Amino acid sequence: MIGTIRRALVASFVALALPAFALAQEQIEIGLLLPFTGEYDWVGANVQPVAQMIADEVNESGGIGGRDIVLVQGDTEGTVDAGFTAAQKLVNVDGVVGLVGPTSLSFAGVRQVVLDNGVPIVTPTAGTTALDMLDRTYLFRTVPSDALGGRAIARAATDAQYLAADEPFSNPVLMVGQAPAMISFRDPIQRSFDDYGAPVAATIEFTPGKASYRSEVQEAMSSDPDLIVLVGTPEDSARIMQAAFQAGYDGGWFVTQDQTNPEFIELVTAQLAEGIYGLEEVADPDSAQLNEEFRARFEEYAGKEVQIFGTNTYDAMNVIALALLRAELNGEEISRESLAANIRPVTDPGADKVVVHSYTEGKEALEAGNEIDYQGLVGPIDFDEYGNITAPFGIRHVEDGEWVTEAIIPADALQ
Amino acid sequence: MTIFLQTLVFGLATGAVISLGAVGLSLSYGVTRFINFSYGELLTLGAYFTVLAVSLGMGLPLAVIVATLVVGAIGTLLAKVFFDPLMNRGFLPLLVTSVGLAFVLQNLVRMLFGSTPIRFPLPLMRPWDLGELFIPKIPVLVIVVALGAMLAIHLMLHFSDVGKMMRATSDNPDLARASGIFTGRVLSATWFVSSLIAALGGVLLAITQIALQPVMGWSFLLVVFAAVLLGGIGSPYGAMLGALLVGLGIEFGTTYVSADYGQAFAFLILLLVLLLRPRGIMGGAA
Repeated sequence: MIGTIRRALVASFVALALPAFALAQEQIEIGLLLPFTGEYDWVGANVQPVAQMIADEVNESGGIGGRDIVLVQGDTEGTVDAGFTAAQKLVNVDGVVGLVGPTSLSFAGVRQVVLDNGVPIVTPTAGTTALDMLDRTYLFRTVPSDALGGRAIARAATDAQYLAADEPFSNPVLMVGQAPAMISFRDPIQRSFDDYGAPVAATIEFTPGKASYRSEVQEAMSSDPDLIVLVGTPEDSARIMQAAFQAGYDGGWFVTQDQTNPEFIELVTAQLAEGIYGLEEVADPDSAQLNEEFRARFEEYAGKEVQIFGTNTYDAMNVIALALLRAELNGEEISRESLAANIRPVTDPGADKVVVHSYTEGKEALEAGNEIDYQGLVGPIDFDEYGNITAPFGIRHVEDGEWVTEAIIPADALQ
Repeated sequence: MTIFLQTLVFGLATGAVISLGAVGLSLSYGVTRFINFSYGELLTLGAYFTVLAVSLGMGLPLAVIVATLVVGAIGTLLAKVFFDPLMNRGFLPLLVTSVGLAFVLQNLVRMLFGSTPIRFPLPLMRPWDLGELFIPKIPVLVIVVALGAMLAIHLMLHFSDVGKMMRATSDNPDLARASGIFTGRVLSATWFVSSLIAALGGVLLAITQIALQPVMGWSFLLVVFAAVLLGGIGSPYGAMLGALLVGLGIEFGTTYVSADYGQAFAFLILLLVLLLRPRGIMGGAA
C-alpha cells in the first residue's frame, strides 16, 4: 500500500515537474526591473508594452532558436530597498538572462546584485551619472547620461540660438533635490555652466517631499538669479515655483525631463509655466522616419500613444533580442555571458556590417551570414567603453500654455 | 526684520493648518480615549473631495463645504463600523485597527485618484508688496479660515448642547452617563465634528502644499501628534496652543537654522516642553 502511494507520488511529481522543466527549456526570461507601483509606476507602465511588443515580434518569428522570450516583472517601486529585493528575485529566483531597467532611483540597490552575478543590463531609463564609468562588460543604456543632459541645459541657457526670445542667461542658480535621480545632475550642470562662462551663483540642495520650500527659495533669490535651474520631482518643483512666485521672482526657469510634459503645466498652472524652458530627450533627426513608423506601429499594437522612455525601450529590447539571436546562430549556449558578449557585436559600427533598425531586419541579416550594426530610434546606439550612448536633446519652451520644441542640440555640440 | 516678519506670517499659517488637525484629533481623543491613526486620511479625503467637487462644477467655497460634510459623514460611518464595536476591547485593538484603516483609505485614494500629484484649484496670487516687506496672500487666507474655524469650535463647545455634552463626556464619561447624557450620541457627534474639522484641515494643508498626494495626510499626522502632545492630549485649547508653537518652531527653525530639518524643530520643542511639563502645556484641561 505504502509502495503504491509512493509510486503515485513520484508519478505525480514527475508529471508536474516535466512540463515545468520543458517550459524552462522553451523560454528565455528577460527581467523588467522597473517601478510598477508607487509614485513612479508610470515608468513601468510606459516601458512594459513596448518591451512586450518586441518580445511578441521575436516570438512570432520563431523565437530565439525556437525558444520564446518571456518578460518577467520585478517591481522596484522606485526605491533602493525594493530595487534590491526585486533584482534578487529576478536574478536568483527567476534566473533571467538579462535585464531591462532599472531607473536611476533604484540603481544603488540593484548595482551589486547584477555585477556580482554577471547579469547584463540594457537600461532605457537610468540617466544617473553613477553609471558613467562603472563597468565595461555588463552595463549598457539606451538613454543618455545625466552628464549630457546637464551639459545640454547649460549649453542652451547660455546660447541665444537655443532660446526663444530671451537673452542668454548669465547668473543661474541651481536647485536640486537630494535624491539619486536628481543629485546626479548637480555636478554636470555646475561644471558645464562654468565651461560656458556663466558660473552657477548658488547651488541649493533641498529635501524632496517637503510641504514648503519657502526658505530654500529665499536663499536662491538672495543671489538675484536671472535663471533657476530646477531638478526635482514634479510636485516639489510646483511647490518651489509657486513659492518663488509668491516671493516676487520673475526670472527664468529651466526644468528637466520629468517636468517637460503637459501634466506639469497643469500642475503648476499655465500662468506660472508660461515661458519656462525644459529639457527633452529626442530622437535622432536622422531617424525621424523610423520614429514615425514606430509610433504608428505601437499605437496599433497598444491602442495608445508612445510615452516617455518608449523609444529607449524599443532600442534596449532590440539590442537584447539581436544579441541573443547572434549567440544562438553562432552556436553559443544562451546565457548571461553570451548575451553580454554579443551586445557590442550587434551594435558597434563597422565597414562590412549591415545597418539594421529592427529585430526583423537584424534577424534576416544575421541569418544570411552578415554581421549587423543596429541603429535605433534614439540614435546610432554606439556604446562607448562603459556602455553609454550619446544622443541629441530637445529644448522646449512653454508658449500659450503648451510645450513647444524650440531647438535641438545635436549630440556632437555637447562634447 | 523683514525676514523675521515674513517668517512669523508663515509660522502662524503653518500653526493654523496644524491646529485644525490637532483640535479635531484632540476632540475625538477626549471622548474616545484612543489616538486614531487613520485621522490623517480624513485630511487627505477632505482635500481630494474638494478637488472632485470643483471638477464637478462647484465653486471653491461650496466645494469645501460639501467636501467637509461628506468627510464628516464618512468619518462617522467608519467609526461606527470599525471603532465603536472595539470601544470596550482595550487600547491595542483600536490602535491596530486605526493603522490598518489608514492604509486602506490611503490606497483607496490612490486607486480612485491615481498617484500623480493633483493641483489644488486655487488661483495664483502675488503677495501684498509693502516696500521691503511682502505679505503672501495664501498664508493670510489660511490664518483667517483657521481662526474662523477655531471660533466656531469654541462657540460649539461652550454654547451648544452637543458641545457641552462632549466636554462633559470628555471630563468624566461615567458621570456624564449617570447624568443622563446619552454617550452613544455624543460619540457619533464627536466623530462627525472631528472628521469635519480634519477635512477642513486637509483643505488648508492642500492650499499650502499646492500638490495633493495620497500620502499627504499620513505624512502630516506626526506633526499633528506633536501639537496634540505639546498642548496636552485631550485638550482642544491646548492643541491650538501646541499647534501654534509647533508651526512657529518649524518656520523659524527652517529660516534661521537649517531648511532641511523643519519637522525636527517641532519635536525638539515637544521634547523640551515634555521634560519640563510631562502632561503638556494644558494637560488634562478640556
